[in-house]
Amino acid sequence: MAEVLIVSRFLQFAAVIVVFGCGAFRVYGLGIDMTATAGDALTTFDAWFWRVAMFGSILALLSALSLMLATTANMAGSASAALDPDTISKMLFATSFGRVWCWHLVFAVLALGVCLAQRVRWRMTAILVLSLLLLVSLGLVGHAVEGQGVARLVHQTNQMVHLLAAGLWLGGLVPLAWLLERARSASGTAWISVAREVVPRFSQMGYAAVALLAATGALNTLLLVGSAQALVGTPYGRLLGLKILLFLAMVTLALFNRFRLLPRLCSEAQASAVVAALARSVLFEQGLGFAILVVVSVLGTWPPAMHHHVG
Amino acid sequence: MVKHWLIVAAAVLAGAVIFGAPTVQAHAFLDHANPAVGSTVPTAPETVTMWFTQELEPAFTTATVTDASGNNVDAGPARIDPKDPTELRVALKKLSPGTYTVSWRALSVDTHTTTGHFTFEIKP
Repeated sequence: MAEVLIVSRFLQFAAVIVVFGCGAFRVYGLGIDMTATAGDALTTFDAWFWRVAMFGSILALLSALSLMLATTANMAGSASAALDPDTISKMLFATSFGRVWCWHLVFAVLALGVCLAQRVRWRMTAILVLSLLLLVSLGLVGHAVEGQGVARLVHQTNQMVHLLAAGLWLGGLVPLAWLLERARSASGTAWISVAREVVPRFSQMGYAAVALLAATGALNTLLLVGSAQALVGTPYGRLLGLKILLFLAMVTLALFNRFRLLPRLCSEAQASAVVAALARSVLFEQGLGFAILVVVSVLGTWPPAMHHHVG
Repeated sequence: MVKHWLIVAAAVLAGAVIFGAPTVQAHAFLDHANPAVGSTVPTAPETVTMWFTQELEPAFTTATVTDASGNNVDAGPARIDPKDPTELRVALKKLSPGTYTVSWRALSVDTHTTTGHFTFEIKP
């Protein structure tokens, strides 16, 4: 059952983060001051975006459902409980996880509905809002609900900000990679011009997202691990240490992209080699990001503190 | 803009390190109980009360009390105190001297379960 929980959590995080990150990219990366050339780019991007959003919404809904069933089995202590309607309804309506998950499922269904409603004008806004709600509601379940009163509120708020920042950065890398691949493979320089306009915007957003991730991640570490000894002395701490190392590797790669490749992209007349290097680097950064999601999916099923005292 | 973000992040980090943060304990572990774990009591208790390290989910938290022969001696299902969701209480039938085992399965609000048992003795 633990494997189903971990895989469902990974798919859920990945799907929601990618849909939110792509939608946000559309706003801060492509939404403002577009030239006539970029207007075409916008149409092409939108066509790609809605395919991603559709796939992401289906995956988000399916993994939310499998997470619901796996959590029910886990709570009841038997795999067969996952198929018992009474136990499922008890989980959904009589536990704090279930009450959040009811809303989460509603948001997932609505997101899929928005993807299917092709002629609706406000659907870009709707998918952005719904993916944001999906992401934020993930901060209301799991380890963030520990503690009581103000401590719980601080932990949940911190977790929600952490998830949003992760969505902006890791989710944003997906459309960035798409754009760079376009610029690399298309004939002519039109897509390279778009990249020159958009990549610096992503970079600006990246600073804010990384700073937020570091700050909220540090607070989460303090809340869930508490000390340097626990970070190296417990399985949870060591796995969290791996997550931090992967994050630092991502930041290093991002800094390389920002300070080595981005200036060359903007200044060199023949930028195709730089675009190819940047595309490779962003893909690698994305790989590290998804590895972090795997680690996070496991961490959620482990106890952060290993003390067990009985008195 | 970027500098401001970095300053805010540094301030939050510094604040968290300087003032520290309470370590939150995940999963509901048994903190203490009445009658205490492994204790011998002079008179038969009417209830067993357990306090956990996390808030519990009433829908999936259970506890039973059995005598030395394995017969149930609790007088109904375990109940969680609505005012203090870390407190689990089991009413008992009238008990005679002997050793009793309390077994519990706790679901904490973070969706993790823990199980355990302990004994207490009533003096003859």
